[in-house]
Amino acid sequence: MKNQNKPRYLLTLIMLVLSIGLAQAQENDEDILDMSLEDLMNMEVTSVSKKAERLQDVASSIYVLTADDIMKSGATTLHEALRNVPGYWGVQTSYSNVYSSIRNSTTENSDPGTVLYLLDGTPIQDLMGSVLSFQNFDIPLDEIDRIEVIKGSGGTVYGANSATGVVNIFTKNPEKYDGINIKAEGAAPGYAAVSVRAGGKISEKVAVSGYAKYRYFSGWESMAGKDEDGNSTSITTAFTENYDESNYYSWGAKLNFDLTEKSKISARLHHNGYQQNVYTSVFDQSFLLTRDDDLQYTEVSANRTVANVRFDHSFNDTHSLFVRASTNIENDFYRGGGGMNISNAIYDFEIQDNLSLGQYNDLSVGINYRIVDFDVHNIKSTDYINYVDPQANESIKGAFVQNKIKLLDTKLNLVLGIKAENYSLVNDKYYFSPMAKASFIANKNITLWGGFTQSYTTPGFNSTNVNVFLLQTPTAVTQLITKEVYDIAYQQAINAGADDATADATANAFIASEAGQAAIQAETRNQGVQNLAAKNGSETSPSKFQTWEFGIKSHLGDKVQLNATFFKTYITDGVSANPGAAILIDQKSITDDRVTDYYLYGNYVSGESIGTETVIKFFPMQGLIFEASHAWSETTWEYQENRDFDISGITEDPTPSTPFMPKHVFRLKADYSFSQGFNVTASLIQTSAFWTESNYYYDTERYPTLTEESLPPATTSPTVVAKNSGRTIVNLRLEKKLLNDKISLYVFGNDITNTGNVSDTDNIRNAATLSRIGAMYGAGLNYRLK
Amino acid sequence: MLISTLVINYSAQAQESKFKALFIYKFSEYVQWSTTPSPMTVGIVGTSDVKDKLESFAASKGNMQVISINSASDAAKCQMLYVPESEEKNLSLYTSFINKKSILLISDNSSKVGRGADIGFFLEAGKLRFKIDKNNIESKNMVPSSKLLALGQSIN
Repeated sequence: MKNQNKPRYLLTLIMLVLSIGLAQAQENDEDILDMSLEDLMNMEVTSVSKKAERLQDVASSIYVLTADDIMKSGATTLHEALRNVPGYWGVQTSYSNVYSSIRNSTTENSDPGTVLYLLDGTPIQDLMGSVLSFQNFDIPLDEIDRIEVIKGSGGTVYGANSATGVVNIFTKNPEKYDGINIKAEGAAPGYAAVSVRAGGKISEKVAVSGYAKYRYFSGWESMAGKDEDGNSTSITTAFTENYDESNYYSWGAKLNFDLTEKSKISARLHHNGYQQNVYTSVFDQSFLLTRDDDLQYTEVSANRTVANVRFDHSFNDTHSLFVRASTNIENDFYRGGGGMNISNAIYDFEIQDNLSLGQYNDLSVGINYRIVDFDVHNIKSTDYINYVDPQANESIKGAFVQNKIKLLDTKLNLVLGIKAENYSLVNDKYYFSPMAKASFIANKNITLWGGFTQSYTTPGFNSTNVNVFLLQTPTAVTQLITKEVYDIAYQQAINAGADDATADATANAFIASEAGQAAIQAETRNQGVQNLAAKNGSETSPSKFQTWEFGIKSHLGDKVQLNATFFKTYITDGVSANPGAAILIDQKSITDDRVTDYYLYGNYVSGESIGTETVIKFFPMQGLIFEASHAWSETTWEYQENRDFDISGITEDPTPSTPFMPKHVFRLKADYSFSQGFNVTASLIQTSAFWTESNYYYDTERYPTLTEESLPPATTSPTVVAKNSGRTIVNLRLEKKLLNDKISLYVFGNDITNTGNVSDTDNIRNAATLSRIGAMYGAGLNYRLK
Repeated sequence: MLISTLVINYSAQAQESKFKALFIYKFSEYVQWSTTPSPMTVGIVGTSDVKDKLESFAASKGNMQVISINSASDAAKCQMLYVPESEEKNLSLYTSFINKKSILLISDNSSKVGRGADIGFFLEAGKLRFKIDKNNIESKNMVPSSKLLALGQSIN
């Protein structure tokens, strides 16, 4: 590995950062004057400090989705709100299930895992693949105060799995809560959501808030027994239960308690759950004979709890500290490999000290310790997928130091920092994520920024100790081949003069012997029906992302605001499967004693991502705002030197022919507030083509196995469904406010040009069914009681 | 995480004053006067923490002076006038004096917009917002930018 444990290197950097900070210490604290009025309006009054803004404002591509933006988007899910963010994209496999990414399009059959999701500062990543399970997350969207989406690396501050982005969800502060709100909305087809929220100060020192929400969705149109166009097929469907309907609930409570003028404690608790019927698929030992999967049905009832307690102390205006404990506990049904229950949890503890050394230096030092509990149980088919250690306990240790330095009369700003992190699930090494960024405020209208960051993405549980069979030798075939070998051994014994009983014993002894088993295995291989499975390679370590970014933030007159970013990311030790055929032959399975050929996945690819993000806001007249954006991002991959196979002579290109994330996404939005409390918002999203398609066998209602192409053709040919293409999404919303804004009435249409797409077809996680996504038309009411 | 945690624990009141000063400072960039004053003079009626904050901004940038206003006639020295909540009872004195003079009158109270004040502050979910009376501003020969009008809540 290129990254070694180098404590002296870290110490040197820390001393360098500290020394620069001390050398530049001066007095002053008015550096937010260069922010635009619009930026100021997006900030909470009590969180204004030069430090708070400058981390974002100096040298990062950040898009803030405000509560107002979310409300006007008409979104009914977190994903629908986020898809308005330039640079973000999520591929839907159903209404609520999304695989999302920022600035990273993966190789085939791997999780992006490079975008960190936080709820009030607590990581809410799924530990299996280091992605957010959108399915198992819900919250009243109007409980969200803002979502800060950092495009690019956040590794120096946020640590692992923030290599290409951070989605930071902040809920409303109980101290500044917007009273008591009741909200109800409904839409066709079959969507309903009700929520109640209340909060505020109950005494001089104590503020509390709470919320509860219920959401129901019927699904668009069931595809059970139908083809992609919705026409009935002649097949009697096996999907007899309703798998489109889903129920969601969430509730939460928050507390702020001012212990003294300088100390306060805050606590946040969020809980959500969902119920849905889920079909999954297992390719068991009869698959090769029947060419049909083994359908699994599960009535899923899942939930998530996110909580944190935090103590803040301000020593003085220039020195503050916080101590924070948080947890994310996820009980869910994981759909991979036919499905299994997971009860995974993190328990995180962190301390951070922030010290301002005059106007020009903001120094932050922090440590964190995280316990990670994996608990995989009730695996539907343990002879199809299994884990070496399904109940594991791991830890992450981290420390960081960062200094923000302002030079040239605050026109030149530098941010230097480094984080060291160790993840015991992977190895005992420390991985360093340094950052050096700069911004130059040319004048009040133009800020130029750029810099370098390095981040790591730790592999999920699925990339460390899973054993999943891709093809299993049919039991009947094994019996036949065994019989053949027996017959040969028996005949040889008879030919040698043995009687029947002796020949039988000799043949049985041969079959039981190592040589006999080798003969059976060789004949099995000769017939092309040997066990095939996948496991991780000899080493699966964190993937490294090194990003160079340059950007401009500008105001062109008082009517136009332009932000543009260019980035280039170099990726090493990316995770993919090996190309070609299985590369470990005749291995004992890592979870049972079957003789198996293995495909491996490990740090086999390196890559480059390149792209731009451009956002233009135009304020042509009173109450009218236009926003146009374009995000370009593409990732190319190649095989890299590794311990498991020789890459010379490999011609296979690991870059998918169509990317999983669209290369180009254009967005247009118009927001017009006019007289009598009316507001109308319209948005258009247009993407280039991205990967959604898969073959589908209508007769057996299944997707292919990953090794289907190497098998004898099935009796019927598959059909390509959900063909790769771009997406056009049009959303409309009209709102009328009444009674001094206490009542808000609105109608909305989401994705209104969608006449019924078959959603992304994921033949690993969503193995059994076609699913449809489509348009939604609805209306809602928000009543602010107080 | 860090973005939200690098927060100095100012008192809410001081933060609000600082924010109002920031907004007032910014308003000067979004309104055109018939003659461009240099430096811009902002009057603060009575005593207010906003004055201290605004003075520090003005000192930092050097393109604004901040003065105390103790009588309505003093307002003639200003291009912008801020009437804090404690002086709200005297607002009518200032609106009468300003009449059609090119003085942007900013009130702590958004309900005064349409009743003499050109801009009035209010808090919404912890964030500072403002209402704005475009017609009144234009009637005093000042031009609010479309961006200012888009960001504020217009009463017209």
